[in-house]
Amino acid sequence: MIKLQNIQKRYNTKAGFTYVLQQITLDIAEGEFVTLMGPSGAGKTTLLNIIGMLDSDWEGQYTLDDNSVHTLKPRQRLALNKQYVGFVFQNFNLLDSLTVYENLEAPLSYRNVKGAERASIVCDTLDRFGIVGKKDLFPSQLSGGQQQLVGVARAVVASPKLILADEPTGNLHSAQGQEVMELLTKLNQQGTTIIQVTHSEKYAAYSRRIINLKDGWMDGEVTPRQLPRKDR
Amino acid sequence: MLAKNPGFSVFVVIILTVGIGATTVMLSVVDAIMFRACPYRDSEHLVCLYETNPYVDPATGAPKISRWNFTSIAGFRDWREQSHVFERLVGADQWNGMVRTIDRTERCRGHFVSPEFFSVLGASPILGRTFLPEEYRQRGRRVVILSHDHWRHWFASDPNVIGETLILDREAYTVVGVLPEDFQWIFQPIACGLWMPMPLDTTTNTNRNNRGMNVIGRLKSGVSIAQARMEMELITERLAQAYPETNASRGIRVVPIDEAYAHYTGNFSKPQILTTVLAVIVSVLLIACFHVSSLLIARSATREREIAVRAALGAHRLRLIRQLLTESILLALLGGLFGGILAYWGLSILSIVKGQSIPWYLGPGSERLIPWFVNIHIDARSFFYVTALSLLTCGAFGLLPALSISKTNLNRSLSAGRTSGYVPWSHSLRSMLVVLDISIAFVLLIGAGLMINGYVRILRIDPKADTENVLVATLELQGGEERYSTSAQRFEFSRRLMERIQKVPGVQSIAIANGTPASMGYNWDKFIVEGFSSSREGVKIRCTPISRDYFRLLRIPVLRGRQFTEHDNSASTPVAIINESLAKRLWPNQNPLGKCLTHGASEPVTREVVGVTRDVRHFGDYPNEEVYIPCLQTNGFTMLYPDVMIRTDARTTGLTVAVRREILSVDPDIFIRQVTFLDRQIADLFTTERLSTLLLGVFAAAALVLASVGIYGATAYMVSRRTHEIGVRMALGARSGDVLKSVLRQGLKLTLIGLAIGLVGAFVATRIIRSLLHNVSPTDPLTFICVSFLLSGVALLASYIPARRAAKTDPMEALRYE
Ligand SMILES: Nc1ncnc2c1ncn2[C@@H]1O[C@H](COP(=O)(O)OP(=O)(O)O)[C@@H](O)[C@H]1O
Ligand SMILES: [Mg+2]
Repeated sequence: MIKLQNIQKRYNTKAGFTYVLQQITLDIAEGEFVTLMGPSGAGKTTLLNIIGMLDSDWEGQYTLDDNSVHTLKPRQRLALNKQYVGFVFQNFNLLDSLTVYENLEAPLSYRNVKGAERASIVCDTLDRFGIVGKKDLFPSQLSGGQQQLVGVARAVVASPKLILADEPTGNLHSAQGQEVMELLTKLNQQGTTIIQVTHSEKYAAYSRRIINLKDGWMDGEVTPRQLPRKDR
Repeated sequence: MLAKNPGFSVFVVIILTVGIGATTVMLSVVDAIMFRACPYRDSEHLVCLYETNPYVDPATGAPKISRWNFTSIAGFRDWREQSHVFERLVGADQWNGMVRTIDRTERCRGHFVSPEFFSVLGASPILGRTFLPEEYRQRGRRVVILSHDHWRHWFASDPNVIGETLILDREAYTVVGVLPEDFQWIFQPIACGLWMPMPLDTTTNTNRNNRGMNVIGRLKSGVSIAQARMEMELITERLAQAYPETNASRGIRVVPIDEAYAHYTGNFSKPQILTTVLAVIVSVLLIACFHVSSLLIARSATREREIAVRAALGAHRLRLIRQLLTESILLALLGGLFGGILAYWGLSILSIVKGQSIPWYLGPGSERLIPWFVNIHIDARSFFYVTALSLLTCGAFGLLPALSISKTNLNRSLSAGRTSGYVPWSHSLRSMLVVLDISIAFVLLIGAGLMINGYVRILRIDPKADTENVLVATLELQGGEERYSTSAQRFEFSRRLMERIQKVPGVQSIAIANGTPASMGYNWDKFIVEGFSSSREGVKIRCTPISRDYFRLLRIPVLRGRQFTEHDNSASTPVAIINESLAKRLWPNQNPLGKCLTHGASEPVTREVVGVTRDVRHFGDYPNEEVYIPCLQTNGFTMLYPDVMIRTDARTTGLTVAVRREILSVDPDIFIRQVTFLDRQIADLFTTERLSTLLLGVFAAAALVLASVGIYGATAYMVSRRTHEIGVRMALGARSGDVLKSVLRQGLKLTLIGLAIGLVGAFVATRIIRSLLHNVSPTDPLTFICVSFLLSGVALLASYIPARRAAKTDPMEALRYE
C-alpha cells in the first residue's frame, strides 16, 4: 500500500542544507502495524507527516496504492490525506474553541457524514474511549492524558484506512496506554493499516514490524521478537 | 516597541489623523456659525435695538409678534436725543443701486451711516479716513468709503484709490477711505460694498413708516442691559403717544449684539445641513476610534503573553502600565499633530461651501452653506476636545492587556499562550466594534444613498424644453426715466441688441423674454376669463412676455393654433398663447382657440387665444399654468429687465465673452447680471442639494472604506490567530473550500448583525434629513436594498482576502507553530 523510495527531506538553515531524512526506502503493505522508533530528533514525526501527506516538500518517490504522491499537487495530496489518513498528533492539536464532542465531530463534518449518522458515530467513539462524561468540556479543561485520548479518538472516528499515530501513549498512564494499544490492535485486525511512533518497547511490541530511525537514516528493521525480553 | 511594529503604528496614526482632522474642521465651522462672538471690538458692550410689532399670521390667523424690525430715521433721531444709557448710538440705512466704475456697471448694496458709526464698531480705515462732520450735512460733498473686498473688486486694490471717482446711480462720488479686510457688516445676507454719510438734519427723512435703520448702541460703562431696556421702553411709550398713527403698537427690544449675530448667522446659513454634516463627521470619528481601539485590542491580545511572562519574571505592574500608556499616548499625540495639520489644510477647501461677497447678485446657485462674512479658522477648543477623545481612546484600550493581566492569573495566561493563540475576550470585543462600525457605515450610506437618489431624480427632471446650448443674458437697463422712457426707445434698444448679437459667429437665433424656465421668480397677472366660474375676481396666472422666436428657440412644440409673428404688435389685435395645463383648467373639453382673456388693472386688455403649447417644467413652487403674450404688445416696460436667450452652435467661453461685448457696445451703461447657459442655470438651482450630496457621499465613502478595513482587519486578525487551528483542521480533512467558507461565514455574521443594527439606526437618522430629500421617501426601499447589497458585498470582499490566505494555509507550516 505504501511504497517509499529514496525519500529525502532537508531544511534550508543558515548553516546550509540540513538533511533530516535520508534515503528512506520502505514498503508497507495494507493491514500492517508498523512502529517507528528512534531517539528524539531522528525524524520520526517528519516521516509521518510525509506519509500523511501534510508535508509536500521533499524528494523521492512515494506511491500510495495506485497514486504517485510525488507527482501530485499539494491540493491533491490533501485530498488523498482526507481519503486515507487519521492522524494522532504528538502534541494533541485539539481545537481549543470546540468541545470534546465537537472535536470528534470535525473530521466527520469534513467528510460529508450526515447529521444523525455523525452523532451516532461520535457517541459510539466517546463510549469506546470512555470519555462520554467529558464530551461537553473544552480541551483546556482536560488533563494531558485525557487530551491525548481525545486526540486518538478523533483520529479513528472517521474510520480511516491508515492511522498515523505520533506517540499516542506518551501522556497516558499504563492502563490507559494499554487500552489505546488494544484498540489500535483491534482496528488493525479489522484491516486498518497503522504506523505508530513510540519510545516504549512495550507498546512497540503490539506491532509486527519495528523500523529504527537515527539522524534521518533508516537504522535497521526488527520484529518484536528480536527486542530484549525484559520489556515484554 | 512602536518602532518594532511600524505598520501598526502608521495605521493607527493615519486613522487618527483623518478622524481628528475632519472632525476639527467641521466643529470649527459649526462653532464659527453657531457659537462665535460677533466680530466687533468690545462686542459685550454693544447692543442692537429692534422694534417689535404685533401681526396676524395670514396662514393660521394666530396673533404673532415680529421681533427683528428696524426703525425709521426719525425714530433713530429721537432715540439718540432722548436716551442717556448709551455712550453712543449709531445706525445704518440700506442703499441699493448701480455702481459704475471705469470698466463695468454693477448692482451693489451700500449703507448710509450715522456719525461715529465706524468708531463704535471699532473699525478704522486702512486707507484714507472716515467721514467728516460736515459731510453728514444734507448738501455736503458726495463721499464714499469702500469695503476691502470691493476695493479689490473695483480698483484692483489700487493704493492710490483715495480721491478717485465712483458713479453711484449716475452721480459722482469721491472715495475717501477703505475699510480693513476683517470689518464686515454682518446684518445682511449679501456683502455691503460701500458706505456713505447719512444726512441727519430734521427736515428730511421724516416718514416714520419708512423703517430701514439698523441701530447699534454702545452702553455707558456701568449701565446694564436691563437699565437700557427700561429707558428705551419709556422712550418707546412716549413716541407711541406722540406718533400714534405710526408707533402705537410698537414695542422695543434691546438685544446684545452677540445674540443678534447668532440670529443672523443662523438665518443666512443652513444650520440643518451643517448639523447633519457634523453628525456624519462625528460618526466617522467614532468609526476611527473604533478602529484604533480594535487595533490596540488586537495588539494587546498578542502581547498578553509577553506581559504575563514579564510579570512572571518580576516586572512591576505599574511599570508595565506606564510603558503601555506611553506608547498609546504617543500614538494619540502623533495623530493629533497630523490631524491638526490636516484640519488647517482642510479649511481652505471650505471656500467651496462659503458664500461670496462678490458678486452677490447671481442667481440662487450662488447660495452657500456658510454666510460670506463668517471667517472660519481652526477652533482651538474643538481641536483640543477631539484630540482629548483620541487620547482617551488610545489610553483606555492600550491599557487593556495590563488590566486583564491583573484579572486573570498568570498561570492561565501563560498556559493559554501555550496551547493556542486564541484569546476569546479580545475577539468578541473586537467583533463588537466591527459590528458598530458596519452599522454606522450603513446609516451613512443610506443617508448618502437617499441624497444621491434624490439628486439623480433632480437631474432626470425633463425641463420639457431644449435647454442645451442656450445662452441666457440677464440684463438691467439703466436710466429708465430718461433714455428708455418710451416704448419706442425700449423696442429700438432690443431690436439693435438682437441685430448685434445675431452677428456673433456661432449664434443661431435669439429670443427675448421676461423669464426663463430657470427663473424662480415670475411675473403674474390677474386674468378675467369669460365663462370661467370664479372669474369675478380674476385668476392669478404666470404671464411671460416673449418675442416671436421664443418657442422655436427652446423647441417647445405648439400643439394647436400658431406662434406669435412680427405682425402681433401694438397695432394689431391683442393675442395670447396658453399652455396645455391652463387650457385644460379654463376650457376643459373645449377648443381654447378664439377664446378670450382679459388682464391689466388700469387699462384692461382683452386677448384672443391663438395657440396652445406643451407645458414647460418650472422649478419654483407654483402651478405650471402659463400665459405667453407678445412682448411687442406690452408697453415695453418689461423689456427693462430682459432675459436674452441665444441658441448657439456650441458651448464656448469665447461666445459668452463676445455676447457680453456686443451687449455693452449697444449701451455701455447696461448692467449684465449674468451670461450663462440655461441648463447650467437650472443645475445651479440645486447647488445646495449637490453640495450636501457631495459632502455626505464623501464621508459615507470614507465610512465604507473604514468599515471594510475593519472587517478585513478583524477577519485577518482572526485568521492569523487561528493559523494553527486551521492547520489542524486541514490535517483532519478540511479542504480549502471548507476553510474559505468558515472564514467568510465569520465575516458575514458580523456584517449581518451590523446591518440589522444599522437598519434600525437608519430609520431614525433618515428622519433628520427628510427635508433635504427631493421626491425620495426616507425609507425608499430601493436605496435600502442597494446599500445593503453594497455593504455586504464590500464586507464579503474584505473578508475574502484573509479567507483566501487562510485557505492556502500549508498545514505543515501551521502545525510547526507549536
Ligand atoms: N522547520 C525546521 N527547520 C529546521 N529543522 C527542523 C525543522 N523542523 C524540524 N527540524 C529538525 O528535523 C529533525 C527531525 O525532527 P522530528 O521529525 O520532529 O524528530 P522526532 O524524531 O523527534 O519526531 C530535528 O533535528 C529537528 O531539529
Ligand atoms: Mg516527534
